Amino acid sequence: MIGVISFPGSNGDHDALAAMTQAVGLEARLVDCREQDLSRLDAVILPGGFSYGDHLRCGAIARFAPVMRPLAEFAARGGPVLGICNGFQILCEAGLLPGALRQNRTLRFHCFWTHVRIERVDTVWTGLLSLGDVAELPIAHGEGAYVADKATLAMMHRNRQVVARYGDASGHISQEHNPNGSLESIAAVCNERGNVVGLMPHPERACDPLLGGMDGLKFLRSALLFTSGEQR
Amino acid sequence: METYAVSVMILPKTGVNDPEGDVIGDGLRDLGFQGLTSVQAGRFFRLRIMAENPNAALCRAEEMCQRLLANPVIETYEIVIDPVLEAAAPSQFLARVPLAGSRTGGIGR
Repeated sequence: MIGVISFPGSNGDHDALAAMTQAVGLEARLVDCREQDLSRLDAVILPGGFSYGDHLRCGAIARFAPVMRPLAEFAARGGPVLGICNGFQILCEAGLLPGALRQNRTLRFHCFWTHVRIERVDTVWTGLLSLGDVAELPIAHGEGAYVADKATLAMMHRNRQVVARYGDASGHISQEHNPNGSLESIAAVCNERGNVVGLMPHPERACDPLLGGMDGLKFLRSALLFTSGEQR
Repeated sequence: METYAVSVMILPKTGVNDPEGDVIGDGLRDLGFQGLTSVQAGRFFRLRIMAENPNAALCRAEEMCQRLLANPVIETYEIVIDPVLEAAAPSQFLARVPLAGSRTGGIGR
């Protein structure tokens, strides 16, 4: 069973739920942010949106939701956690992922398709991808510029915590294809162990030809690797 | 116990991109303000804290910054502590002269 957390202001929760059930074909349910028992879940997704109205900083208030303590325990036990967009911001604010997300360099909300190049495949959410694969995924955010200080970045390089970078369709990384001014074009990072991943683009919105692409499935289908015998 | 007026100023750390500050700076230059070398855009909080002494109020405010008001990964903070004058009746506040800067007389720029 996959859990998708609903915070007040989440707007990608039903998209993530539909992607996991209809496109991937797994059992999934919404998890209210006041729930405190995640022990029966195989994976947890923190969806995109504007939890708590983005007050103070994106993700800063969601950190205090009752579900966050059991989520931290779930992550510490090695449970697969995926933060998408606002979910990524929440994981950073909660200290489950390094760094932070700042306003886009352009100061504008960006909503368009991007390409990301996969930099690490031994995370629980990139297990079906190959190194250097390029996935086409949409972004929709105003605060997506990834930032980390030098020491943190060095540590991330040592531990291979950069999961994906923005680039062009052939996987070439350049400032021209960095949509938000992210440090080193970083689009996704993970914790040291690779079980907690934060991804700024939206894989759940790229799981059906009707939506314009299927590449998001490559990420979400990874869940098949760690769930067993409960396919719909 | 005293009540202290605590001003907390949050700014992006040096080296962290500050596109909002940059754009405001461009706007000020467009208005003809010369000699402007940089603008940082941040956030300001005014708190009232009851504490034994100014230092205790400062410590409490600092912990607030570390744990919520600022994100130490990307932001720095500055805290200023002032004693609050004797509790004033609400009417006194209503009659207060507006803060300097808001008293420009009428609407316009």
